[in-house]
Amino acid sequence: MEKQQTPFGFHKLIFILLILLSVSMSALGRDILSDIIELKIESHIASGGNFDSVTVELPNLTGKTLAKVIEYCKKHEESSEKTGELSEKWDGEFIGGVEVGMLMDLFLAGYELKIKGLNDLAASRIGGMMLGKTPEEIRVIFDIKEDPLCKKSKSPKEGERFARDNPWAFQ
Amino acid sequence: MEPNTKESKKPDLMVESEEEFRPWSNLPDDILRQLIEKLYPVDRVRFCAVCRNWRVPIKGIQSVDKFPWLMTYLQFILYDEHTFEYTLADPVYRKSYTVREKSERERFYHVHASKFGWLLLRDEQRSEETTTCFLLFTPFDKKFIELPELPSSGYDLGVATFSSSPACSDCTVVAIGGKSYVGEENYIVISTYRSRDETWSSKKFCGQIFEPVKDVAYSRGKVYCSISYGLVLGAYDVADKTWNLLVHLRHDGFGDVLLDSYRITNHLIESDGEILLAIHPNERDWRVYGFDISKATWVVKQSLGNRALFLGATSLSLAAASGGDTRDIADMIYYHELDKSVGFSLTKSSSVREMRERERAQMAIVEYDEDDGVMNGDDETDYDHGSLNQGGGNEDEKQLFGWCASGVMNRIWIQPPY
Repeated sequence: MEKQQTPFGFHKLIFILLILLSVSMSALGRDILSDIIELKIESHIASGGNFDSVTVELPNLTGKTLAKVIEYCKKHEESSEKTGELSEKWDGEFIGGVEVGMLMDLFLAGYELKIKGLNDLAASRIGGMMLGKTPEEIRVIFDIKEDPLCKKSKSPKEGERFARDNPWAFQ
Repeated sequence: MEPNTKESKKPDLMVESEEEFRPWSNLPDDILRQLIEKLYPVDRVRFCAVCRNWRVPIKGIQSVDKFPWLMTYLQFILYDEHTFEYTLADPVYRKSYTVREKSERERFYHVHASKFGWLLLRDEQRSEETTTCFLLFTPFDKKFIELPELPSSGYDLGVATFSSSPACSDCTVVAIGGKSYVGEENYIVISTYRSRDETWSSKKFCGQIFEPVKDVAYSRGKVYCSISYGLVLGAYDVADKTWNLLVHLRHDGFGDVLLDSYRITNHLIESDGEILLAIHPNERDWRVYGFDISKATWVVKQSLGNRALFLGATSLSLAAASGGDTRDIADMIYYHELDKSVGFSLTKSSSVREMRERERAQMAIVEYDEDDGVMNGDDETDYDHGSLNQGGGNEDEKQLFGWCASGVMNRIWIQPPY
């Protein structure tokens, strides 16, 4: 059932439905997440596909991350119904309590599912953690290792040149 | 049923790694740019050094932080070893970075303009009586762009500026000179150079100008020139190559502002499409006027609203954003003195107070409001420009960058290109 490997693989609709059911459809209401799924199904049918074989593009989120995404969406739906404004404090605690490894997943999920608030929140958090840090410190915090598959300029000289042109930033 | 029971469904991509999360070192540029938007200039440069994947072009990525840096230098050269040296002061981290560079020859420059992280310099070493040599220089990654020689025989070349970042294909450099001695021939020569052109193109306009152009502002294809402290305002249309006098006031055109001191400085500023004139009639005072097209005159400004002016080689106007790091600079005028850079609150100034005696006093600068902090995690510091405005016993005057270079230095505001 798996599609060919792409950087961001896809899951079957059934998988999402199971997850959505597990967090109670009613609570999600016209949640952004289900909006996206509806849209994708509509465009699939509109382009001549039939419902039996519908696949919904969903970034390869782990269940853990998706649960977090749904937690975020639910909270924001609730608070926009009640007061019309979103609680910055809640956002701060929400993103502050996320472990470093999951941050990027949440960030990517926000980006790929077009949940702007989450995307921005995670970007701010990640960016905030980098402020005032040296490249080495950043590598340690986020556990970054050079990816051998990275297609960008193979020559190490490139990086050295950049650092040499801007030595002041490493003083 | 808990969602995480589905974890076994995660795609093969992740199986190689023991971590269940996606790797940080293989991200699309789009994503990286979003992160870079959250960073300050120094962090942006460091970001690119983290790993190969993170090396994206950082110039021109939108930034929440527009606060200019302070560049200071004694001379561009130290004669002993042909080294040129300058200091870049970072308002965010309150750190001064010294840049020292060996040079194959002596360099001595005059700074004409500072925009988009670039300086427009006149090479005093290479310029002669008949030609002037300009170059564009970015003090951050030390890139030079030499411009063709400009023939400037027989007149003084006083001011120059440029339109947009030299990285843009439509960047236009404008240099203005002329002769303005009473009793002799009076003329103004406006030379323009478009990026990647072979030569400059010059146009001469005779008459009308009896004093040299003191400052220029580039706005929407027009170069505005202030003459006689701004009593005369001219505009040159770069595309049409036409010159027009927009304001022509008599000597007492600014009322009670006495224009007889050689100490008076004036600056033209482009601010959201509006042309502003700032006059410093004495040590304690600033006046700001806005150009009114319909009345063809200057109209006095009692407040800058949410704007702040940074006056210098090229003056710039910043809007104090509703949030972010520029919120405390509203209505301030920042300028350089010999040994310091100071801020002046227009609304609070005594002369404006007199003008609006009956109106509410004391409405400008409020101290930094602690409760107004931005959302931050536990382990971050709230870097705040507003708190730089401290010091200075004088109510009208607040020192900026007081923590860095002191002493008599050349000072330039410069906006980091990152």
